[in-house]
Formats: sequence, C-alpha cells, structure tokens
Amino acid sequence: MKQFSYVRASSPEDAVQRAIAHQESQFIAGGTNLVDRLKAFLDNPSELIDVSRLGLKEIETMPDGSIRIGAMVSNTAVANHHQIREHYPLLSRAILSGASQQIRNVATVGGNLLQRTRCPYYYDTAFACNKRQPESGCAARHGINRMHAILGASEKCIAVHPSDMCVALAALDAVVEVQGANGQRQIPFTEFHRLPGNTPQWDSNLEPGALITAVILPPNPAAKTGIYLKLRDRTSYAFALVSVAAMVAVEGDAIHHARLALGGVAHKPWRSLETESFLEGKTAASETFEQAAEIALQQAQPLSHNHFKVSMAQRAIKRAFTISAQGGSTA
Amino acid sequence: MLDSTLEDQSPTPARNSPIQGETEVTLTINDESYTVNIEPRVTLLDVLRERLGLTGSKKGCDHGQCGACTVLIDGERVYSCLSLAIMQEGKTIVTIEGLGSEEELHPLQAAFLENDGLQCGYCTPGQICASAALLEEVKQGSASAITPDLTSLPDLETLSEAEIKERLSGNLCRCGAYNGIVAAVQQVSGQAAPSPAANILVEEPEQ
Amino acid sequence: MNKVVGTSVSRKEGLAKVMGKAPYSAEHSISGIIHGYLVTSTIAKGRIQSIDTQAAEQAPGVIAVFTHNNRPLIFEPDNDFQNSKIYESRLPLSDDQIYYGGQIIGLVVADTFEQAREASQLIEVEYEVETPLVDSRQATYEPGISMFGESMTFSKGEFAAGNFEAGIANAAASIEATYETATELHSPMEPHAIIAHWQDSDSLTVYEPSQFVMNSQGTYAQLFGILPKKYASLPPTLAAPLARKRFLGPIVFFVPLLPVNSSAP
Repeated sequence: MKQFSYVRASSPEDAVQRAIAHQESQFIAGGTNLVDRLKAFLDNPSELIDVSRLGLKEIETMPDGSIRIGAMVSNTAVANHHQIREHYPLLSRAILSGASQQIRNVATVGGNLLQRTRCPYYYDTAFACNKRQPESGCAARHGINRMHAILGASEKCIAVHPSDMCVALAALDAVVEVQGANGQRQIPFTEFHRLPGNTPQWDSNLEPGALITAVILPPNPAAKTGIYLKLRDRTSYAFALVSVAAMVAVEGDAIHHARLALGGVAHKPWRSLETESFLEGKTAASETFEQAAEIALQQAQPLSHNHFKVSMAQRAIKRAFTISAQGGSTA
Repeated sequence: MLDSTLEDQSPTPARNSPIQGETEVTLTINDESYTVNIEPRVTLLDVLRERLGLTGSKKGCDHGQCGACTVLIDGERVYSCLSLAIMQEGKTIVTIEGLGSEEELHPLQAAFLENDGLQCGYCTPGQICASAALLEEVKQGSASAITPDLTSLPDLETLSEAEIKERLSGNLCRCGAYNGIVAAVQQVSGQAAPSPAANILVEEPEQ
Repeated sequence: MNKVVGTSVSRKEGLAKVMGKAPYSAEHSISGIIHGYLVTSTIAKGRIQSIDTQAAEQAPGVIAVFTHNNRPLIFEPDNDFQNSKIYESRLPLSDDQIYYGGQIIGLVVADTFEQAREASQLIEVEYEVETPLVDSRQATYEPGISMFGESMTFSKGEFAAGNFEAGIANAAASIEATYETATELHSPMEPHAIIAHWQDSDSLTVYEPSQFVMNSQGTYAQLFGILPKKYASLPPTLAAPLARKRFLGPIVFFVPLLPVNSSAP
C-alpha cells in the first residue's frame, strides 16, 4: 500500500469535483475490495476520497412504483429490506449468497458494482495481466483457468465479474444513477459493465470522476417468482462457478416476462436476451427450459479447464426456470 | 452491543481538506477513547495490534478471508483488516477485549470454553465477535442465504445448525473446532447444545 | 475408568484465549520495535542477475535493506538434529541462485510495517530464468544430511501395481461404499511471525511459534555465534505452534540479522 492523502467529500458534487481535479484519486466507501487491492499494490492512488459519509443511505419507493436504493446502502441493508424481500426476493438471495456477513455489512451498493472484474493472475503481480498492466499479456488464458469466463471473453482477458448482486440487478432491468461532471445521468444496468475486448483495464462505462448515487429497480410483478441459484466449490463464502438469476411469469401455460442473467461466466453480469425472446409466449414445460438453456450457452467458448461450466450452467438455468414457473421461492 | 458511555466526545473532524502523512486520529474502542498518530493507510487492525496493544483481534490472512480480525463497529461485525482506521472516527468499536471480563465473561466466551470451541485459539476472538453479532442479527430478523422463507425468519430457538454454519462462514478455523463453535452458539441461543462430555462409547467395567 | 476420559475438561489456556489475552508470537510489546518485510522470488528457478535496492533504501522510514549482496555474517549450524536443526540447509541470501518460487531474496527493515511493505515494492529484480523441474521422477537424489549420526538419504521410490480387480474378486469378504470428505488444507491460522530482541551483542530473546524450544535455542546460538545460555527462546502460547512450526524455517534467519530490536511479520 503506497502512501496516499485522504479527504472526506462533503457532497456528491464535491466528491466529483475533487475526483476530476485530482486524476490519480479514487473514491472509497466500504473499501472491502479496494483496501485489499491497495495492499497488493494493484491500485496506487495518490488520494482517497471518502464518500461513505455523504448520506445516500435511503431505500425509497418512488411515485412510479420503482424502488430507489442509495449508493451507500450496505449490501446487508438491501438484502434485509422488507420491500426487497417481498417484491425482489432474488435480489435478497443473490446478495446473501455473496461474500460473508462481515463484508456485506460494510460493502455498499455502489461499491459492489465497482469491485474489479478479477482473477488470481490479476492479483499476483508475478504474472502478466492485461487488466493490471495493459498489453503485458494474459497468464490465465493458458494457465489454470477453471474459474474463468466462457462467454464474451477476449484474447486479452478471461476474468469474470464476481458479484452476485449484479447478476440479479441485470435480470431486474435495474438502472444506475450516476453523478458526473455534467450532472446526473442514468445508465441501464446491462450497459454499465463492459466486456474486455482490447481494453480489459476498464470494467465499466463510468466516466472518470463520476460517482454512483443510486440503483433504481423498476416495478416488476414477475420479480416475485425470481430465482437466484449459485453453484460454487464451497457451500459458502466462495465466488460462483456459475450463478443464475431467472424469472418467468406464467399465464395459463404461456410464459411471459422471461428474464435470465448469469454470473461467474463472463467479464460482466451476462444477460441473455436471446433466451428471453425465445421463451416469450412458449409453454412452460421441461423441454422449453431445456432448449432455453441450450440457447443461453450457444456462444460459449470454454477454456482448457472449464468445460464443465457449460453443462453446469445449462442445468442450473433449467432448474431455475422450472422453480420460477412454479411460483418461485427456495433457498 | 455495548453503547458508548463516553460523554465528552470531541466531534468527529470533518477532514474536508486532504490529510498528508501522519495525523491524529481518535477512536472509541471498548468504551474508551484512544488517540493515535497514524497515516491514512493504516488499517484498524494494525492500529489495534501495533499501536494500542489490543492484540486480541488477530491477523490471519490480512485479506478479509479468514475472519480472525473481526470486530464490531456500531454493533455490526466487520473485518478490521479491510477497514482504514481513519474512516472509523466517531464510530463505536468493540473488540474481544471489550466483550467480557474475567469476572464476567460474555456468555459466548463461557460457551466457547465449555464446548471446547477452540484449539490453537487464533481464530477464537474473531469467532466470538462474529457469533455475538450473529445472535443480534437473528434477534433483529436478518435472513441468510439458506433461510427457507424470507418472510418468515428463524428466531434464536429455531435457528438451525445449518443456519449457524452459513452465518459464520466468514470465519475460518484451521484446527477444525467447528463442532464446538456451533455448539457454543446453540447453547447461548437457548438451544440444547450437544453434551460437552466427549461422546465416547465406553462403559464402566463390571466390578 | 479414570476421571478424565468422558468428562469435559476446559483447556488450561482456554480462558486467556476466549478473552483475546493469550499472547502469540507477534504480540509482545517491546518499545522501539521495528518491522521487517520479506522480498520473495517471482520465478521458480534461475539466478538473480541484478537487484536494485537504491530506491527502497531511500524510502521514508527505511532503516536497511538486506539481499545476498550485503548479508551479514551468519554461521553454518551443525544441522544434526541434536544441537541444531534448520529446514533448509542452504542459508538464506547465500548467493544469487533461485531454487523455488517464493524463495526469500531480500528483507526490508523500516520503522513501521506500512513503510517496510511500501519500500519492498521499490526493489527492482532482474532474473535469468531457467525452466524448473517439476517432475519428481526426473529428479536426482543427493545424499541427505546426517541425523543423529544416521544417514537420512532418500532413495528413489520404486512403484509397482498388482491386479486390483483380480484381488478383490478373490477376496474372502468385500465391502463397497463411498466415503466423502471436504477438502482440508493443513495450514495453521497464525502466520509465521517473530520478534527478536537483542539485549546486548550476545544476548537475544526470540518470540516465535515453536515445537522445539531447546533446539531452536541451540540453532540460534550456532547461527549467530553466541552462547546458548545467553539466549532465551520463549514459547508463546501453548498449542499455537502446530505442525509446520517445528524447526526453524528460512524466515527466522533474518531476525537476528538486524542490529536492533525488530519483528519480521
């Protein structure tokens, strides 16, 4: 951890101004990922701007029925909020399946979005990593790549975004509210994170100096049946090998409002629009969900150590849709 | 959790102009006020252990994976190794040293002893702080990843063994004292913990 | 039956442990303590071509930087199990050779842990990289060191397999069952940490996790050319030194390299 100066922002506007004026600065809120990266010399800011005391800690229902979650609300508080539990149970489940209670108590909503897409080779400075040092190479591609991406990866980077919460948010059509130099703007969740392409050093489309102020959940009656299924090496406190956020609303036998997002498979929370449009209007039956699962993984390009992820994801998708079609709920 | 009984607390400094190098930071720990001269990069764990001699909080991995550094901040469990000390100004910190005294152990400390929830003891302070928070969370109706129904939450009497294990998954024990740890939490939850006597299939020989 | 088997007995040091008051090796308060941070090899085999410590030496708070170029004098111990024992017969920082990844190649000493850690990143190392041998069947075996006068040379293993299928078919009885166990990694929670406290030039107190206190004492005495009786090694907390903490590993050699009080976390 290099020496840095420390300052507390007095308002979101103040935070953004400071960040733009001081280009080697970084925001810190919960710090659960950033402090760890600082210790490993992965990030070397010359100034930390503390944004943890700006308020932004409300969860409120907006006039249009959407729910606005302040960026500094802890992951724990979101997961245990009565409206989230009732109307967006898959979001509660996704959050609770991620990290540990100690991390969730401190980690913020905004910070969860901005944790780095990462892999062990990124963390170990003895290895080449294009994300850590652009154009230095990727040691993971022909290394131990069991945990890595099977969708949307590039020659430059095969790391996966580790968040569980973000997978649920992707499925829920969430919107990210951002304070930038030119005021506020809203970014659809699926456009917030990036695929690696030739610039894996950038995980998101947030412009330099911009601050996340809230995440907005649009009203969604089908979300009550949503499922979050996480498969991992350990029972708890481990990143997903594969995770699935899925929901369908069934009227008669016909599927409406299908949503599918995958975690542990790509550089960003992976939303599968093809699968969703395939399911629309189809009969809620085992074969339908099996076909849906195949469509979702059609583009998969597994690496030497993670072929298992393809069938694991397919089975998880089928199971999640099946449970959702039956009305949802399950631990 | 303990409430701060300090009355003459100085207000938390605004820190609206950048701090360079060492600066005075005042922290409220176990109902006492401590002032240290530290750089902003110093973690809460390193302040506790290296500056204040409060070595009950342990450094196992220093990366937020083992849980040995767990302390309570404003009543919530937190990894002190991932927390910058300067960011804790104005908050109420409780460490294992503030949880109980030799005369009056915290019920969890007594239960860990009684149920042998430790061997080398290095993870124990973190386990106990995490367990103390766990009991409080259950009382306040917080869910875990394996809670079957998010609208009907377990209370201390009905908290299952699996729930306890899931809720303590942020604390590792390399000696493998998990059974004793779970039994200790069950005991303090008011559940019938397994007998502390070793379960050995021996009988007194016939006289 | 005796009164111990089947009854619950609290650990002798249990009370101190549940209160956070049991002192482990890095938990002894000594005024003026300074901190060491290790620099380790990022290659598995080869040679250090150059190691530039200039920037690290000039970093804030840094007291000294040690590498193979300036290692202070230490003596080869007998390493015979009786009077002394070390894990690696090659003394650290002996030369520029790299035998394994993570091998200690330097030590930064500074006023604070944070300063030592930062300075460690300023050390520039250039390596001549060789391909490591990772197949034990290709390895050559050299005579090992003598233990209690007996040779401890490992011989190359010979492997043979019988016919399991035939054997089990002819067995008088057989049982077929599947047993599963979670992955267990044997790695103690307490990290290796040492505090060395030089009272004067031939009197040293070391706080370290050890299962072999007397032997450690003898080893330190031989390494640093001091009289064993002047040297005291305190076992920190009972049961803390679990396996892997039996003999002195490479980390300990650095402690007394330091001219003053120090700790090497």
